[in-house]
Amino acid sequence: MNLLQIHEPNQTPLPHSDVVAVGIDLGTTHSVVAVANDGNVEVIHNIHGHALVPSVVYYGDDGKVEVGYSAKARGERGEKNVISSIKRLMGRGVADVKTILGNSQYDVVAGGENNSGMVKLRAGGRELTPVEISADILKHLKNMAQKALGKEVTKAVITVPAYFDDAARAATKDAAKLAGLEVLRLVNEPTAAALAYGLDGAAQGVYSIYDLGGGTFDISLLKLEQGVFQVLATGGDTALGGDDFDQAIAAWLLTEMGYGDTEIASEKLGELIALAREAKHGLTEKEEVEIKMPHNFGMRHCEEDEVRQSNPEKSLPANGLLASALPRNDESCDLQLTRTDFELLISPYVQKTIEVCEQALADAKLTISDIKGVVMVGGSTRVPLVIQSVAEFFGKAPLNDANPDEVVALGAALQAQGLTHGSDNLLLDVIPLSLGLETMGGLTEKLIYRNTPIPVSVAQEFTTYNDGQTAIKIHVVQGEREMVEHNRSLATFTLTDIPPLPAGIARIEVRFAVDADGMLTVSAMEKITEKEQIVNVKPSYGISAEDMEKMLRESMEHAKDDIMERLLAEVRVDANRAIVELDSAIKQDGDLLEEGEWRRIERQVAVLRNVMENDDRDYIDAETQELGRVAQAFAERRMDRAIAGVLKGVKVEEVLADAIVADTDKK
Amino acid sequence: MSHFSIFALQPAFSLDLTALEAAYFKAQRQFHPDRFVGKPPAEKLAALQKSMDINEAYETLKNPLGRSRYLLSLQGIIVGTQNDSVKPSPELLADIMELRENPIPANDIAKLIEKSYMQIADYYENSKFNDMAQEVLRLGYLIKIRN
Repeated sequence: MNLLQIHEPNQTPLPHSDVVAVGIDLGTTHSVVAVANDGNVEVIHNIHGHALVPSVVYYGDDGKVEVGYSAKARGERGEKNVISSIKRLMGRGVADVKTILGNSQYDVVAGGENNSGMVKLRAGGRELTPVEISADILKHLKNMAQKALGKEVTKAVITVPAYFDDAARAATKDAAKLAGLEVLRLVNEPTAAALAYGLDGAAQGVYSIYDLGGGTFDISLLKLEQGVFQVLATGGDTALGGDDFDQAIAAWLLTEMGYGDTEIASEKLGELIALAREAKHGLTEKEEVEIKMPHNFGMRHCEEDEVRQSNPEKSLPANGLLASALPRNDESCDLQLTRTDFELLISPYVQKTIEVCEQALADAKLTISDIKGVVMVGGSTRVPLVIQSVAEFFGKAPLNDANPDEVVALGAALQAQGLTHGSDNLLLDVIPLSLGLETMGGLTEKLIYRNTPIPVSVAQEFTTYNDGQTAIKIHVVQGEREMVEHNRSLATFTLTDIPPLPAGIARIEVRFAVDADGMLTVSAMEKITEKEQIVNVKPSYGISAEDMEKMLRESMEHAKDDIMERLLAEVRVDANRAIVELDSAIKQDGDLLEEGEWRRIERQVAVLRNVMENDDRDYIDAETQELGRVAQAFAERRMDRAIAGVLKGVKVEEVLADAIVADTDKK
Repeated sequence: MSHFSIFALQPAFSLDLTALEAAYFKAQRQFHPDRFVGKPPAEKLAALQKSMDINEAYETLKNPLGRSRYLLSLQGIIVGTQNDSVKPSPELLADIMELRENPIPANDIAKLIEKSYMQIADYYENSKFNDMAQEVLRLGYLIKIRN
């Protein structure tokens, strides 16, 4: 019987083999869900035939929640309680909001004392984190998929900007959890696009994926070779996208109309941005567009001075366009925006993306001539200036025959299928931002450099400063700057329970591991006593465990009982399977067990069997994970034994065949 | 497992980088966490660790400086850290100071680096590890100067 299934592609037997896993592109302005089956991959449409779902959520005072086009329409009409582009606030704190959103129409809740740093917005009489809002979008997509596929959807691959830091990734995973989705993997958007683009069929070489979405920009340089997608370098800006183009036009409109930009009422902003966006879209095809300003906007620029003369005290009030209706005629007043002027407005942003491309090339130690092709991803790559600038920089016409709005979701769906049903492809990604520790004087000591292939782990030894010190605090930051304050604070890790020793004697090895999702875990061991340390994590911009539990409970309240039962059954099946497979592993490779290991494993199996009687999903899952930890070293030794066999040229089929024979023998 | 044995390679300074990359891809195809999504926790954790080991091995072996330092470490000689077990010889230090005071064109540095590679390969093949350590120290300085 063979625990270690070195699988051939498409032969991976899996637990819930009728499981369909979807791919989700959770975008700043639009989200898409897609699914792959039998080599066919396609986006899922809602009942109105739309594949693109606006990432807009409306929270009614009556408790109603709307996601998508209806919410977007409300926002464009100037209604309150409509939240869009929430992705920009994932993993962000209150202080970030101003920098990111500038003139924001959001009602931001000031940080409280129990606040773990993440921003909260007020809408529909509730205080919501970006995680909850994103969860509502994910729930909507999940339901869409379930309706279309006629079965339950609980597993997904979700894409994130390659440049997303740990906090934003954690927020995305938390949102998925709240939405009742198990995240099989977080995949970087450019990598997903490369997978979907079918480049693996194309010539081998290095390709650059230029991904400009509504709110984020990524550039990834990928080497493609026989099904291997290897990221060489990645760069980006998580606060740069089509939204900025809209804002630029909106600001221009305000100036043209004769207003300073602080004078606009928050409700009117939604309408203004909608007009700006429409203009932007129009300028893709046309050289010039006409923007019809509706009459309820103060038309200072085409108001006759006579109005002001007749009402000298009636200057526009502080809350701008909405409150006071200056008497005026019903005519709207058109403005003209030429493509040339539009390009002047957005060129600083486009230039910024080119600079990021330059840096990525330098990081990968490549030149333009090394790049075989450029792929454009994301709706904002339709803008002519963007296409031009990219073509100019890379010296070749970009490939853009896949739908730039859908390609990321399609890639995610392909990856979802690959993870659940086996695949020939291999995605090797990198960490986008350096990880470092805060040291004396507020400096950053880099531990893992950006563009290091993941998964990766690095160990650092620490010792105590004072006699008898039993705890150490480690502040981890992400970024390239020298000073800690210029980097993103990720979390504070506190190691407690250090054996009391004289100062400087304890040797604590702290291991920083970044997994395939690009996320950090920290573990620690005191080397003298060989004691595994407990590491308490306090994320700088995360949701506390208590808040998460509370939110989960609330969301589960509305879930049907039979779903709850099924989830509990699943977790019991997983626990049982872990025990059975471990049992077989020991029968086959028991000679690899070290002293005391068997007893530890046996003890944990007993604990797990006991807990399985329980109705607490999390408890059962936690003890299953613990069994995994207790048996990890043994599993590694088994793998070493397997490598030795495989790399000596033993054919994989032979290994599998032996295993199947052994299996049949046992039956 | 040594970095070399992960790729079923014999320890050597001269490496076919294409073969190394192929071995790297092959190894990751086996052990990358993506291959273990439906597996029990023990295997998932083991695979994650293996995948990290493979990455570390590849990053170390794929460039000559990392590779040569690693080869020395297998012989118990540590260079390139803050706790080196050998010190640069006076002759080496003199050479480096000379280069720092009288910089030479980039092409010439590149040539010196190439020469250093050949020297290291030679020392390793003849098991002259102490000489090799000095040469690897030299290589470290040269690369710093080049950058």
